[in-house]
Amino acid sequence: MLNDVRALREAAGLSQAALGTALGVSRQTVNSIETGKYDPSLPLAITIARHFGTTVEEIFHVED
Amino acid sequence: MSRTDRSPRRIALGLAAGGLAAIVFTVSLWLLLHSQDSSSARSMGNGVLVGGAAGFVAAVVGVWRAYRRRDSSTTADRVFAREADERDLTVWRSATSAVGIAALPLTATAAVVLQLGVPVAAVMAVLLISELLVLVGAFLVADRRL
Repeated sequence: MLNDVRALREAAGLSQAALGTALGVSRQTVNSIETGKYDPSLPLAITIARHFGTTVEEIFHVED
Repeated sequence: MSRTDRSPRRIALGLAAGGLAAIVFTVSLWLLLHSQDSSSARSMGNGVLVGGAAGFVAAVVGVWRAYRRRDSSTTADRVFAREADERDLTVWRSATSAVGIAALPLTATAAVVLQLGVPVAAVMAVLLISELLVLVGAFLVADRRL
């Protein structure tokens, strides 16, 4: 699943480790989400959206 | 989802209890095997002690890395230290599922080989090592894929 997590993180001036700490996950998980290798669970996706002040649909896009 | 659902004290108690249980189990098994008359049983006991010690040291290193070097800790470190997040748990479940699936043909093969007269100790050792290799291999593949 495509997502804008990297763009949002960089716009916020956060490192992957810092975002991971804020979300309660590892830096490795943040990297996997950003590269599209791992799709977060619904609770984590909502937490990510709330962290950046937006919605899940604005961040995550289903590949056609 | 989050790793921060348990208090540090509870995590420490859990790890200490797990470590103590592992030590008690390993030493008890060593004593039991060493009390046997056969040299192969005593040799297996020594193997249990060495393997248990190696596993304990690996677990301690993993826990230390997970808590002291969070940014450079690996998936395995966090799983050992019970600090796994949802991705880590997905990797772990994928690896253990692979072992579960592989256990069926491996055990069936072991049963056939035993019928052909191969010594039981050798078959069991190969079976155990094969399952460990499947676990490690599946873990590494899942960790790279996810």
